[in-house]
Amino acid sequence: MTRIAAKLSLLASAALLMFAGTALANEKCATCHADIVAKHTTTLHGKAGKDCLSCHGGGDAHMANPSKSNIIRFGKGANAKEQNAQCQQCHGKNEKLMFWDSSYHKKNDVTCASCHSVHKAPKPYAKQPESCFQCHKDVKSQANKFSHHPIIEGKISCSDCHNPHGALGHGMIKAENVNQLCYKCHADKRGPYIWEHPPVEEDCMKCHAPHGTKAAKLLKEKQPQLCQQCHDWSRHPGTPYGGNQNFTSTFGAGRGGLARGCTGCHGTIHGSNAPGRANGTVYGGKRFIR
Amino acid sequence: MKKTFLASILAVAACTAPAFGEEFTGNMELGGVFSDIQGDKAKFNEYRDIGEGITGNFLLDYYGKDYFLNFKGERFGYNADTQKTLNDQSFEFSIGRPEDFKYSIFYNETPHNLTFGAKSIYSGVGSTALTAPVANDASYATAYATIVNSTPFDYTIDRKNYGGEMEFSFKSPFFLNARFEKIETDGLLPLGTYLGQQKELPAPISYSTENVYLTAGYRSNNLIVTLDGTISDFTNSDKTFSHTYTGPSTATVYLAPDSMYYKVGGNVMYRIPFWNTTFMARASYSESSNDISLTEGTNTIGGTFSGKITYKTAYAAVTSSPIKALDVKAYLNLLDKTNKSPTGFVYGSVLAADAATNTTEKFDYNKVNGGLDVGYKLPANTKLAAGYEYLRINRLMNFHIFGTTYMGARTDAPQTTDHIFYTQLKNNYFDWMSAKVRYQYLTRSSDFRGDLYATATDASFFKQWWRPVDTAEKNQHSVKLGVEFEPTDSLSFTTEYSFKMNDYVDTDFGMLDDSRHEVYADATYSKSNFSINPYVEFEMSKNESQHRNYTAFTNADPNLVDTATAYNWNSKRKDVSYAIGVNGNIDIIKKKLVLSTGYRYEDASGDQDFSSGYDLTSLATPIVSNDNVDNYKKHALAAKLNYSITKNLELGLGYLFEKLDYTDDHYTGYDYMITKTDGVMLTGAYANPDYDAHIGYVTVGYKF
Repeated sequence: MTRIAAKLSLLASAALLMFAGTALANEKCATCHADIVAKHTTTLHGKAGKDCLSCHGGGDAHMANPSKSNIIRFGKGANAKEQNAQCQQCHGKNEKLMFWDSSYHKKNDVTCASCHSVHKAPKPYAKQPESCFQCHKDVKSQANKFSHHPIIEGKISCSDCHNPHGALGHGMIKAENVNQLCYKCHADKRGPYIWEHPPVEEDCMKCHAPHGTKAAKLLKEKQPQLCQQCHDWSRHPGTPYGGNQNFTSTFGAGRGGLARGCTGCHGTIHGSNAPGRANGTVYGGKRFIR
Repeated sequence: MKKTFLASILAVAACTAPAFGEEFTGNMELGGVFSDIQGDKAKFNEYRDIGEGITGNFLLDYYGKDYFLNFKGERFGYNADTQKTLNDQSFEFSIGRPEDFKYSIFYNETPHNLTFGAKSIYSGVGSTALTAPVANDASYATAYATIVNSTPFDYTIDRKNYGGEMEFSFKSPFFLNARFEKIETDGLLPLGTYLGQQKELPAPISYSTENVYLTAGYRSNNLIVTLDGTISDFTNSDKTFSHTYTGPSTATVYLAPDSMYYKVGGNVMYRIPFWNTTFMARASYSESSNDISLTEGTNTIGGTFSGKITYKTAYAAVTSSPIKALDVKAYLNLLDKTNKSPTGFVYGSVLAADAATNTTEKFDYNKVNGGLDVGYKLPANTKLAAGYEYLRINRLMNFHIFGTTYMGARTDAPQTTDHIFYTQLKNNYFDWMSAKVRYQYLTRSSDFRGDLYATATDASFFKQWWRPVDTAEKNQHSVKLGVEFEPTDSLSFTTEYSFKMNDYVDTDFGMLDDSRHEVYADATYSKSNFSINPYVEFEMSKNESQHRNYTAFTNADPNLVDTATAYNWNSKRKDVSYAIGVNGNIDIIKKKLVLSTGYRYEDASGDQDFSSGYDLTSLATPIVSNDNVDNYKKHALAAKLNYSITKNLELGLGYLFEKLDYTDDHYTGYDYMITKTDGVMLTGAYANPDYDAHIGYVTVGYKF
């Protein structure tokens, strides 16, 4: 019994010392960094009992000689590997970060602090899409285009499709390939269909640019020009459609005036289950007409 | 569903709140919205629901010693214009104990508005039976009057995504995560079909997808192993719909089929205590399947199509840092997609003339991708990186040519092989500046089956010269430059330029070359009570392609002299777009009165020039260049003034202005219509997306 009491008191003392140490460390840091220390107590890291030394190291050496060189710094100019190693001490065993070492972000020296603001906000979560747009300026531009996924409206976040902490595939997407990613929300496109359109089955991005485009429906190019990049054949796919072939022209709104493009007739372009064609007609699923 | 969801959350929150004491933080904002939207309200509200009414947001957080709780609601409220609750609202509630457990439930609603006020000759819009109330041979005037007098309808779909998630680890290295979600999508979409002429039909959309995701595993600093499983059940209430008018009395159009999908996979990450080496791998198997009743036409497989598509994937990567300055990564990705559905059966007409055309095909492909990246740190905080990547895709498709069915590759490109090389130099010697330059070269070879198209009298003879862009042989060069400059703590500049060009080296007809330039620059200046962030974006892309127009099969040879009925033609496309904008914040009265503003102007233009050995303007249908290809100008201005009445209470006054002007030569004159006697029917979908919107709002916010 006495032995147990002694062990308990030892544990209690250790815990007290630990918390006292935390408080003491922060108190010392506050003599020079009062604002940051005050803010730190309101953050998740502060509430989890992490003191300044947990991440910055330094301690007495830095107190004796306040210099950037004897403390682990975060932010621009500081060593990326060193910064991220500090974060990974605690977060390295998170399964969502398990492919960090393979990530494009690591390869390009992106640091945790590039996206996660540990001191400024109560929660250190990256604000999307703003954090991502800081570096991915081309994506910011695309997300504002005439046709776009609802990223800037806040209905889709970058991390819905990408794992910024690393994935093994291209683009750090959260699926084995592009199509399986898209089918998570667009299950109506996954088929299986009786009549397949091979480029659709291979890669949605052959026709679509998911962040945003100038052409409708996230298409990389307006129809019919997009379709004519692959389909040049007899009859209408090989026909040039000039600027005067509009809906008021004498050439009608059929094959001539194709503002809505090829899908004006070939509406089931992702796949069809209609008969190939009926007797003596061409109006069937094989050509994605219905 | 929304009411149940909210009631459940409030009940749980009410029960749990006392347990957490008073350490809650959060905010609540309520506001009234005033709107004046002229033009296309659907495009303005494409993915949102802004109109006269009330709206609000709230956030409730608790982080205690043991437990945490979060409750967030965004864009809840009421739109007086539509007389409905806002359909872009979302709620999320979670509760748990760090490294122990977490429960969460969520509800997220997203609209996709395409066109309001479309019209159709059909009655029964929204149902699976569209009926033309006039006879097939009715006069144009009668048919047109029917459209004009019809009831307008909206092309819009509403997506509701709700479900729950659980995470358990019980402070142990083992964990289990489970997520269930249901996605309901309902509405109307315009669907193009053809029955004698082009028909634009309102297709009923009624999808439901139920997804279950499970992940379990073990995690430690040096070893993480996980197993995951997914089940996804997609159901479409309306697999077909019918329409009448012109042609056969009733025609059936096919929508998305039901399908069941499952996936199993596993991940491993192991940090090897040697040269700072990490091994990472993933393998997965997935299958999607369905049964489709073949109720129309004739078929040779007995009435049911049992579709099945499988994916097998394997990924592995090793990263290592044998010395501090050196980083190495080697990786290998394998993917195999196999279509195990029935193939080679006749579906449709079995008449001898049609049987070949009605023989079904299916597509498989497999992919081998691997590479090596090396990064080496040079003196003066300079990092040199270089790498090589290999990508080979085999496309397998059974196909038929003029009645003979072959088993083999996708005929135009059974195999493509990419070799990619890159090098990158990055320097951040100074804390206040970093610069990066990257060059990448890609060369693609393609195993084209020209021998299949050697018969000069076939239409396909032309394919000997034609290369589809996605599989054509090419050389690609891309360059990227970037500089970040921060002369003082309060001032920074960023600029980036990238260039990419493709030269399709083996293409006589098809895409010949394309290029793209992008420039982005911004600056940020911030002081204690003031910040401003101007930016500019510029993009220009060009491409040139060569084509041939012919009808008679004997004219397939592009070396023949150009005539009015068979001629080669050339297209030059160009798109230029730019945007300028500025965001700013100013504390007019410090911590009391804050003004936040943002303005963005976007201008995009495109054109297409045609040329030919034959005078295209002398054709019966003259071809003239198109100076307006998806041209648009958009202004967006947002401003909000926040006044802190007390430390907790805030008053907000906001204004949003947006204006869109769109033009495209091909869209000229497009509206809901029926054209003369040829039976073309258009509903007006996407007819005129221009809008001009002024939105004002006042908010009251409370922080605690």
